[in-house]
This record gives sequence, structure tokens and C-alpha cells, in this order.
Amino acid sequence: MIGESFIFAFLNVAFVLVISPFFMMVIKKVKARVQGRQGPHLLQGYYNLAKLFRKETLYSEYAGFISRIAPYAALSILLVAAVMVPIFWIPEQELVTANIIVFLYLLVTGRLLIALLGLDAASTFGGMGSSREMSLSAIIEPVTVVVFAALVYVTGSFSIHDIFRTATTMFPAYNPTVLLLSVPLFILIIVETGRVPVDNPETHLELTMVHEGMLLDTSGRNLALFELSHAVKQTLLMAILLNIILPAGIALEMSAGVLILGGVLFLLKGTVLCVIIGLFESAYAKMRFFQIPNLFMIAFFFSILTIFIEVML
Amino acid sequence: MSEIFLFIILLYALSGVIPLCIRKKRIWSVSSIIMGGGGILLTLFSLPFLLVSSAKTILFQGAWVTFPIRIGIDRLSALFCILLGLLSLAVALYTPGYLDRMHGNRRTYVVSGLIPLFLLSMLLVIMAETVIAFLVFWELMAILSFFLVLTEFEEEKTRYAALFYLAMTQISTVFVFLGILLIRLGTGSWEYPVHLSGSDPLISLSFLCLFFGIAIKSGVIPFHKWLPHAHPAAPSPVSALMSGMMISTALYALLRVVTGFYAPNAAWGFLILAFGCLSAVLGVMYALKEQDIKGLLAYSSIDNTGIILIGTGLWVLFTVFGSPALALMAIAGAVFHAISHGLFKGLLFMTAGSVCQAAGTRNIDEMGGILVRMPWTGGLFFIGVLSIASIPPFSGFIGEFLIIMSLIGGLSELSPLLQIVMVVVLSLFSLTGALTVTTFVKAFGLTFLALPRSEGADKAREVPWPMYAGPAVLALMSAGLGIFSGQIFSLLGYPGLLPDLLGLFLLLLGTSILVYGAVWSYASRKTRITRTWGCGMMGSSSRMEYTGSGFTEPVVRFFGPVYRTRICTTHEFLDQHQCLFRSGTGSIHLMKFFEEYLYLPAARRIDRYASLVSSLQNGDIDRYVLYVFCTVLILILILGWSA
Repeated sequence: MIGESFIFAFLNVAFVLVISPFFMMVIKKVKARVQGRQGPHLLQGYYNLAKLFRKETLYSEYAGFISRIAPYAALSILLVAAVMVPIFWIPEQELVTANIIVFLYLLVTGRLLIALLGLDAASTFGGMGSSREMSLSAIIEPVTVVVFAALVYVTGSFSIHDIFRTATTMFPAYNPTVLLLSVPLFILIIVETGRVPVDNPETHLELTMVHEGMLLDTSGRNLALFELSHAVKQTLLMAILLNIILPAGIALEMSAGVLILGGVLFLLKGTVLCVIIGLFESAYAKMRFFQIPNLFMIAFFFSILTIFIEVML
Repeated sequence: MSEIFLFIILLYALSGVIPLCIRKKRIWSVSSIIMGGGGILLTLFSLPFLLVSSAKTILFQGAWVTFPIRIGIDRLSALFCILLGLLSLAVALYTPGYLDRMHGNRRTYVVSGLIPLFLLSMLLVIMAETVIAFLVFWELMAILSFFLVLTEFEEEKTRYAALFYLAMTQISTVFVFLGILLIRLGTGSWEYPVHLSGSDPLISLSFLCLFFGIAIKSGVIPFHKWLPHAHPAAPSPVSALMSGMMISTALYALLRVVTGFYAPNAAWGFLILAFGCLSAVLGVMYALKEQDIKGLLAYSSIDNTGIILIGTGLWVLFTVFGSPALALMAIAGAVFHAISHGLFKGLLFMTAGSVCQAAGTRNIDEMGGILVRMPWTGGLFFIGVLSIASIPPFSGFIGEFLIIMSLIGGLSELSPLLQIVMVVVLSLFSLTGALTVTTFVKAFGLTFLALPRSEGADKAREVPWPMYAGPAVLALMSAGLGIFSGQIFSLLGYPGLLPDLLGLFLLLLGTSILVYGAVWSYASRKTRITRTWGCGMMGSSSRMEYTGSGFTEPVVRFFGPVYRTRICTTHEFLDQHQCLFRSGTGSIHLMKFFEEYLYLPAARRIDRYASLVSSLQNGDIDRYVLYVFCTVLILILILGWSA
């Protein structure tokens, strides 16, 4: 049993690591196509990472230990989080706790480290980025907790494994609450991965940047680690959305055929979701920073609505 | 067994009396050793009482029958005794170094003598077993802490803080006194009552009095205004004790009263919950805006008090509405958070105190770059930050996690009306958590990272080793309590309450090593230390960094209605038509809501009535004779009537 859990952990983490840069590039490609450009090659993400890992790393002379440990810690935390979120296979036993609240707090940990990193190098942009990031996180956090509370309420379990397992039994006879939940979960992906209209991942313009601002002073392998962890975070949040509203093909037992089928299906579902995210990003303009709470309120409203509808049913 | 506890009490008293009586150079190191020893003994000998749930001992029984003074120890008090022991040890290590660097010769003896006595008074409050003993020690604690706040009495701000504190703490004592008298009227004994219930208004009134007395002491909003003045004004080891232990003592009293004295009552549950939410959200919002680092920590104590109140209120509600499993979760969260808050707040106050002493300022905007200059202190402060920001697997996470779990669990077990309450509390609670992270990113980032913003910060140097050994004890406990929380709860007889964080921690450690190893072996190792890009300017200066006010500006904008800022500008013109502008000033003031709408009106009203009374007393002998005559007349009339 415990052996199975280890195999699961290894496969899950490896799968997430391998596909995450691909998903990032799909979104980039879709956005470029909408703008009438050719866009990068779909494997460009891997080339970028390989290039960054080969380059020299610079540290600011003012920087302390935060700059040294944050890149490694950020990726490690997300990889541990990846053990909690089954992508294409739900094993019978959890290796570590898959409690959704613990998962949420792991994401907070990553954010705290990156925000401190932004301040570490004494640059203006870093401070700006981390101030904005922490302000946004202060208001998205209650929304996230309520979304997850609604999720727990609908499925009746705190464990992400069990939540997904319940979702497979609900599928395809849709529960309206599950559909309602997909709206705040989608907004969550947009916010947590810093996409338009909350943040613009493509600019280095001081007026707009949030996430990029904090990473402005990182380079080489550190930057590669951050890019990778950003991509992993996106894949995990996508997996939560996908495995709840569209759990088709997710494997429940360990056999090679079912696992491969599950992986391929997830790749397909993920690519479709990435196309949707890309189109969504292209359809909107960057919001004014102080208007962003309105978007969060939509997510908050939908998750509260979910809870109340579930009460009525 | 009881002798050893009396011996510990003696040790504390001894270490308090020595520096007050003997004026020898550095006598406080002797008294600190005695106090530290007392702390270690207290921790060790309280442990058996914590582990065995039924163990209970009477340590001392006063001979006076009318006002029975009795002290003893049971499970709940043992837990807080352990916290007190650990904090004593940390303070004992920390204080001598701090006092060596403090100005003023005689004052240092007084401080080093009062600290153990203050600890002793809190220990006695925790150990009290009759309401009258509780009242006596409660007042002792208030008086001793007042003198400690007054230590740096030359400063106007300190005197103001101390007087404010004295007024508030006496109001607290009055309320506790009233509550205790009402209990005496209701039950006819000075013993701790057990699960009083019924619709007798005396009982409700006594609960309310006790609650407000305790609420004032633990800084519950809106009775909090003294706390951010008094806690930072005291010397740092004392601030650590006031925030770490005195608030915990008040919360111990709250837990004792709510869970022991009275049978749970839904209305009181809602009351506690409401005050908890108010304190948690507003406490952290004020903390976020605070520029004085010790003031920031003091406000954050208010927010943590709120969290513990929320847990306690939930316990009452879940017990009344019949969900014992959730009730257990909520109260476990509240108690655990009270202990871990004591630990990490002590840690944060002590390390912040070292920084303030080294940099010569308490203003966050004048610090910066301290981490490179004081790596040990900074590293320990970082552990405190991780703990208070409830980062798994540190101890601050456990309490918040349990309370969140019980709130979400409440969603599916309770009636629709209560579900709405749960959703509202859940959102406010998570808002508090998120703002705490933001607050401490500010506190750590702007104090310890980047470039120093003043000469004092630039010249800061690391403190001698005992001054970070003390906080290190607390940091170690803080991390250990979190990592082994699952095991600790099973040991105490509550298995399965928490997921296994030890596994999570080991996995995190293993993954970090793997990631580091992989990058080390496959990626390029070329590294260069260089200057931060200065946007084309030659080199960057600290003036280009974000300041504390700038950092929190977006949050202040988002929550504008709460902060209520007022912008004042003045203009000076060269000509009388006001066309040519010469100079001007602009400033942003935070409106002090509670001071303007609650404290000052109350103070003015008291002042008015007091002046009415003072007109009775004008120093005129004839009038006093008249008073005496009238009194005698009235007495004769009444006595005649009743006879």
C-alpha cells in the first residue's frame, strides 16, 4: 500500500513537472494567434528553462539568505503540494495529508517567500511588486477559503483525494453546485497565476507588473526555478478545476493502460482549458489595480451562492 | 510533589528580591540564573499534570477561613505553567544582556527585580483555586506590570502609556471584582463555581462582568487602546512578557470562566464570537498600518486574542447546538493558539527589542538591512514570522487550522441561520490570516531586508550570544510544537484531530534536498555578486526603496472605510491674491475612531460628573460641619424609622 503511494507521488510529481511548461506555452501561443502573431514554438518553455539553467546566476550585494533559499523553497513547496493533488490517478492511500486547507497554506507559504525575495535586493520594482502581491493576496485569501469551504461542503470531505473521488461518482450527472463552483475556481486560476485582467505576465512595465516585479532581480537557475514553480502552480490549480467538473478518465486503480489513458486525457483536457484561459486573457484588458477586488467579489458571491443552493437542495 | 512547586515559587521570589536588596554590579545575572532554573523546574514538573488528565493537586491552603486563599494545579493550569516556565527561561537568558546596554543605573536593578515578581504574580493567577485568591493575584499582576511599564519614565509618551494602562487595568479589576462578588452572592462561597446555569440575572451579570474584566486585560477591541501604548513603552523583555504571558494569563482566565464556571449559553457564545471577530480583523488592520515595530507586534497581539476568542466562542456554540466533535476542535485550536502565541510573540518581541536597541530606533522606516548585520537575530525573527503567519508546519498554523476546520465543519452540521454565521466568521477569519501574512512581510521585509534607511540601522551590530539564545529556545519550541503537533495531541488523548505534519515536514525537507541536489548537479554553478540594477543611475540608495507606508498603501486604499484617513494640507503664498505658491505641507492622518468616539466622550463625561462632586468639597470648614450635621440627622431619622 505504502509502496503504491510512493509510486503515485513520484509519477504525479514527474508528470506535473513535465507538462507544466507545455501548458504555459499553449496559453502564450493562443494569445499570440489571437493577436495575429505566429507565437512561440510549443516546446519553447523547455528551451527557455534549459537556457536559464545553463546561465550565470547574479545576486545583489545587499541580498541576504532569503534570495538564496527562496527559489529552492518555492519549488519544493509546490512539489509537495503536487503530491496532494492527484492529476490522473487517485491512489487508495495518501502519502502525506491531502487536506485542502494545508494545500492552501502551502500556496501562501510560497507567496510569502516570493514577496520577501522582492524586498531583498533593495530595488524599487521589487518593493512595488511585493506590496501589490501581498495586498491582492490579502483580499483573495478569504475568497479562496470560502471557495474551498464550498467545495468541502458539496463533496463532504477535506481530503483532495476524496473530493476527486466523490467528483467521479457525481460525473456525468451534473450537480448544479459543481457547475457553480467552476466559476470561482476559474477566477482563482486567473488570480493565482497572475494573468490578465489581474496581472499581465508579459510586461515589464512598472505600472502594470505584480508578479514579474518581484522576480526582476533574479537570474539564471533561480529564475528557472521560479518559472518552473509558477508553471507547476498553474497546473495544480487547473487540475483541481478539471478533476472536479470533468473527472472523466481519472484512474482509480494501478494498471499501466488505465494510467496512460488518464494521463493522455488530462493532457487533452488541460490543453483545452489552456486555450480557454488564453482566449479569456485576450478578451480582457488589464484591470486598474484598485478595481481588482470587484473581480474577487464575483468569485466570493458564486461560492456563497453554492453553499446556499446546497443548503436548499 | 507540592513542596517542589512551593520551592519554585520561592525561587521566583528570591530572584526578585535579590536585585532589589543587593546593589552589586551585574547582580541581575545571579537573579536571572535563579529565575531560569525556576522556569526549567516549573516546565518539567508541570508536564505530568498535563499528560495525566485527572491529576490535580492542592499546593497551598491559606489558614484564613473567611477569605480562603488556595493554590493548586490541574490540567489547564499546568499547560499555562509550562508556557510561563519556557518564557521565564528565555527572558532569563535575554535580560542580563539587555540590561547591560540600558541607560540608567538604579532603574536596571528595579527592572531586573520586578520581572521575576511579575512572572510570579502571573504564576499565582494561573494556580489560584478560589475566586478571592484569583482577585488578589490579578491585582498584584496589574500593579507590578504598571511599574514595569513606567521604567523609562523620563519620556512623556511612557508616562502617558503607564497612566492610561493603570486606568484601564483598574477598570478591569473593578469588573472582575464585581463579577466575583456576584458569584459569591449567587453561590454563597468563594470557591470556583462549577457549570452555573439557569436564568438568574445574577449569573448572567456575573459572567458579563468577568468577561469584560478579562477582555480589557487581553486587549479585546474596543477596550484595546491602552495595549499598543503600554506594551511597546516597556523594556523589551517586559514587552515580551506582557504580550506573551500576561495576555495568555487573561485568556487562561477566560477559558477557565467560559469552560468551567458556567454552563454554555448560546447568547454568550455569540457575544464572544462577535468580540473575537472585531478584535481579529481590526487588530490586524491596525497592525498593518503601524510604523513602530513594537507597536505593530502589540496590535498583532490584539488580533491573536481575537482568534482565540473566536475559537472559544465557537466551542460554546457547538456545545450548545450539539456538535461535540467540532466543539473539541474549536477549543483545542483556541488553547493551542494561546500557547503558541505566547511562544512566538515572546520570540518576536525579544528579537525586535535587540534590533531596536542596536539601531537606536523603533521606526520601521528608519531600519532596513538589519539581516546582514544581525544574522542570528534576523534568522530567529524570521522563524517567528513564519510561525505567526501560520505557515505549515510551524506552531501558529495549528491553532488557525483547527479553527478553520471547525468552521467549515460547522457549515454542514448546523441550521441555516448558523451556517450564515459560520460563512461570515470564516471569511473574516481568513481575511485576518491573509492580512497577518501581509503585515509580517512588511515587518520582516522592511526591517531586515534591503538597504539601511538611517545611520543607526547601518551601524547595528549583532548582540552577544545569550540575547539570541533566549529567543532561540522559543523558536525551537515554536517549530517543534508545530511539527510534532499530531503526536502531542495523541499523547494528550485527542488522536486524529490533526493531519500528520511530521510527515509533511519530512517530505518538505526531502524534496528541498532533492531539488537542491538536482540543481547543484545539473545546472550551471556560476555565481556573481553584483550591485542591484539602479534604473540607469549609478548605484541605488535606500531612498529608492519602498517605505512601510508605501508598502501598505494599497491595503489602506482597499479598506478605506475602515482606516478613515484624513489628508491635511497647508499652503503659503508669496502674494496676497494667493497666486504664487511658495511652500506648503501635506500630511495624512489616520482617524483614531475609538479614541474619538468612545474613550474621549467617556472620559469627558466622567470629568463632568467628577467636577460636580468636587464642588461639594471646597475646603470650607463651615460647610463640612454642615455635612456632618446633615449626615447625623439623616442617620437618626432612618434609625428611628426602622426602630
